[in-house]
Amino acid sequence: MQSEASLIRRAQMGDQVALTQLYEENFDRIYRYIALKIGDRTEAEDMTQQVFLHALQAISSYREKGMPFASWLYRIAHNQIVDYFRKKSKHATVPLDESLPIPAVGGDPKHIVEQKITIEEVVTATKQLTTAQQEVISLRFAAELSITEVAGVMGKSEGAIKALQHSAIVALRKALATE
Amino acid sequence: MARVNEFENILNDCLDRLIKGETIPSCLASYPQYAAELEPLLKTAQETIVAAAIKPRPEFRQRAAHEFQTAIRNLPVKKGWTFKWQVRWVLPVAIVLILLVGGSGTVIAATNALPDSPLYGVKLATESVQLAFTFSNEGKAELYARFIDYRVEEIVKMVENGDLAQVRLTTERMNGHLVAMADLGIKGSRSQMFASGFGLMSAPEAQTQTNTPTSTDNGSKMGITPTPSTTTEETPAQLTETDILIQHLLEDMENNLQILQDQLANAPEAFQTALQNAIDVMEAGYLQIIDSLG
Repeated sequence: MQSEASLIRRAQMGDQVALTQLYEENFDRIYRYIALKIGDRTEAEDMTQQVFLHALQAISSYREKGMPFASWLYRIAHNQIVDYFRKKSKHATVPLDESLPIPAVGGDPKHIVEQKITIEEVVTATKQLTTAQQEVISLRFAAELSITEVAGVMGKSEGAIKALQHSAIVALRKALATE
Repeated sequence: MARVNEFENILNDCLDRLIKGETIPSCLASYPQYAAELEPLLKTAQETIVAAAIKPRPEFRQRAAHEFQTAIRNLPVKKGWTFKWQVRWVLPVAIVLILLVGGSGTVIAATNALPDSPLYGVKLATESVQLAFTFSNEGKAELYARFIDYRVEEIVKMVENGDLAQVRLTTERMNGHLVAMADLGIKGSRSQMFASGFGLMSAPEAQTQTNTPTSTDNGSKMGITPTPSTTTEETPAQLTETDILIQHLLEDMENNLQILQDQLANAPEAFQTALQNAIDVMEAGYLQIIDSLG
């Protein structure tokens, strides 16, 4: 198995297979991370595409520094999300009519409707958390990163992330209960 | 403080397990002394996990992949003129040669890689490159048909390996191929697809289950063009090309459905829902393709 470092070196030289592999490995989780944070399908799609196009243009400037490549992508995604919210005048408005995609395919409509409500509720509730709590929820449950990886992305210790994860779920529970 | 740390470690362990598809009762059973405290948090986490399991729409995935491949090809090259020429032309040509001749050990090894294998990324990357270098719709349709067969085989293997998350993920990939195939607008280029054996690329196991004469042609599966007379001789005169294509698609669907249904009959209970979903997705996908043929 080739190491990530060698894969990235090849990608930095313009190797199409290496670039495609990095793209395939990270596409879904970057999309989920963005979608859960902004709650808008169209924007999430555009932003996901921009993250990878930006990464493609900037990959030669990537330096490993002991951090996985994915954390660099999340940083790009995070910056785009910050810009997105900065530009939006009404942050609290979740465009429910442009609702998020439904994970199940081919399921029965009743299940899909229930699923949709849960997505809307969770996206709205997540916005009541602190920025750090939102980040840990998105990285852990949408990007499916391990605690070690989340700690790397957020620049905190694993212990701190576990504590933050605990407080985030407690806060999320309260937010969901009050909706 | 020590108790808080211990609880946070236990909570984290349970969350890891929920993400991998385990149930809340299963986690609670491991930590009965913390069950009352854990349960409400795990329920909230479960809701969040379900909400976070959002998938990119297949049409978006396809469009984004195409634009990414285009962007790769348009990457500016920063080195000297001679080297620039080499990077621009030698690399794509080399990839095409690797794919045509099968001369790369990694690519060959990745051909049979399963979703839980480190080489699986190479397999997917190779598929993307194959798609990127296939410009005709009928060629893409052939590739998608082959990829669908691969995904079915992978779903079966992942059930055998007990990896529920990969079963779901592979089903999503299969759905993406089906939707992409339906979006190709293949109706207008039927003749060439017949010539290249479109729709006849079932998994080996599936091929042994069909009695249809045309679907056992290994030459078609390998991309060898059969003589037109072979097809017409075996085809009732009253059938249109669309009818034949639909018939082939139905055979493909039946073969792959049979494989999944056999697996469903023997699969552990934890995999029943995921396998049934795969069956539903496949059936709906094929029917959508057939419907697009009018």
